[in-house]
Amino acid sequence: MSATLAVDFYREWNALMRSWGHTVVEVDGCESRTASARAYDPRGGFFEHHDASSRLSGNWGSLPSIIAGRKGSAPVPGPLSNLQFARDGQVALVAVGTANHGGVGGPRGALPANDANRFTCGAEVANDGLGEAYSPELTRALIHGEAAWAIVAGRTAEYVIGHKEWTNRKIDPLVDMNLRRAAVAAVIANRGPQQEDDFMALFNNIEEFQVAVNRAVLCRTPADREGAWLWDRVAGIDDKTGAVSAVTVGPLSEFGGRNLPQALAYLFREDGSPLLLAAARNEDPAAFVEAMRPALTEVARSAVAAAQQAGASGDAEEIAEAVVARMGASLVGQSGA
Amino acid sequence: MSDPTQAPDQLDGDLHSLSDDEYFEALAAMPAVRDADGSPVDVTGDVQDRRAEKAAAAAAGQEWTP
Repeated sequence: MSATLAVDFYREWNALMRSWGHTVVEVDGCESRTASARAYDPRGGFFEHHDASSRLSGNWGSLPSIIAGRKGSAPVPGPLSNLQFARDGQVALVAVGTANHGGVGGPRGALPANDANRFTCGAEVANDGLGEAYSPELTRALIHGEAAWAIVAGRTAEYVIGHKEWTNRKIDPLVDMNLRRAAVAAVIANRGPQQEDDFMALFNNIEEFQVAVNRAVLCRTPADREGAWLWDRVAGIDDKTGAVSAVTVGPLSEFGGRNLPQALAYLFREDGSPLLLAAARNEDPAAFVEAMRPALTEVARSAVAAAQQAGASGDAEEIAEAVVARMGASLVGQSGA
Repeated sequence: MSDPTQAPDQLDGDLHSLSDDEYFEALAAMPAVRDADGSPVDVTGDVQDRRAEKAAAAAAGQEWTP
C-alpha cells in the first residue's frame, strides 16, 4: 500500500469514527509520521495494547512517549502506536505509518512472524495494566474503533488481536479478547453501532456480565445454582463446571442470530442497561427486578405457555427446547415460537 | 523488553519502562494536537504540572509513573 493509500485509509477510519459520535484528535504530522521507510499497510490486523500508564496520568499521560519513543541503552524509535485511546474514550491519531508496537511474535493468520508492525494498526490504550477498570466510554470507543478499522480494511473481527495473543512476552491487554471480538463483530454486522452493542461496553468482562445476569434476573449468586438449569442452558454456562461456553458470545438461532448479551440488551432496551449494571455492582438489584418486572413477566408467561404446550407430548429435553425457543422469539419481538 | 539487536521492524516499546526524564523530554517536544476543525487541543492540560504531581505523589507515599 502506498503512503497515499495509507493516508486515505486512516482518513476514512477517522471519518467513520466521527460519524459515530467519537472524538478523534490528530497529532500534527501524523500523516507523515513513521518508524520505518518500508511500505506500510494497516489492513493486516488491529493490535490492542495497554500502555501501563499510571492512573494519575490522566487521559493522555503516555501520548508524548508514544510519539517520541524511548532512548537509552535499548532505544526504540517512535511512534510506538498508530492510535492512542484515552481513559475517557477520546482517540488520538498518532501516526499513519509503521509504528513500533508489535515486535517479535506470531505468525498469526496472514501476518508474518516478527513483522507485524508494517501490516497492522496498533492502538495503545490508557490503562495501568494492574486491574484498572476501563470506563464504559473507553470500551465503547475501542469496540467501535476496532469495528471501524475492520469495515474500512474489509476484514472480520478475527483480525482484531490482543498483543498477548501475538506474543507470550506480553500480558496486554487484560481484557477477554473473545468477548471483545464478539462485540466488534456485532458492530461490523450492523455496519455501525447500535444500542444493543453498546450494552456490553458497560461491562469489563464476561464474568461481570454474568454476575449481573445472575443477580438481576435470577436474584441469586453464581454459587447458588439451584433450579437454574434452563437459564444456564440459555446463557451457555456448563451445568457441571459453571464455565462459560462460547455460545454465550456466539450467535444463537433462538435469539434471531443475536448473541446472549445482544438479546438481553434488546429485552432491557428501555432503561435496563444502567439498572443491570447497578445490579452487577450489587448496588440495588431489587430495584432492577422491580423495573424489569413487566418485561420479565412477558417472557415468563410465554415460556410457561410453551412448556405446557410441549409437555403434552414431549419429554424434559423437548420442553426445554420449546421454552428456549419461545423465550428467544419473545426477546427478538416475534409472536410465536 | 525490546532487544536492540532486532531488525527495526521487529521492535516494540515498553512504555512502563521509560524513565521520568525521557517522559519529560518527550512532553517538552510534544507536537500540537488538533480537533476535527483543525483547532488546537490542549492534551497536555492534564499533564502540565507533572513534576509537581510527581512530588506530591512521593510526599503521599504513592508511586508515580509517566
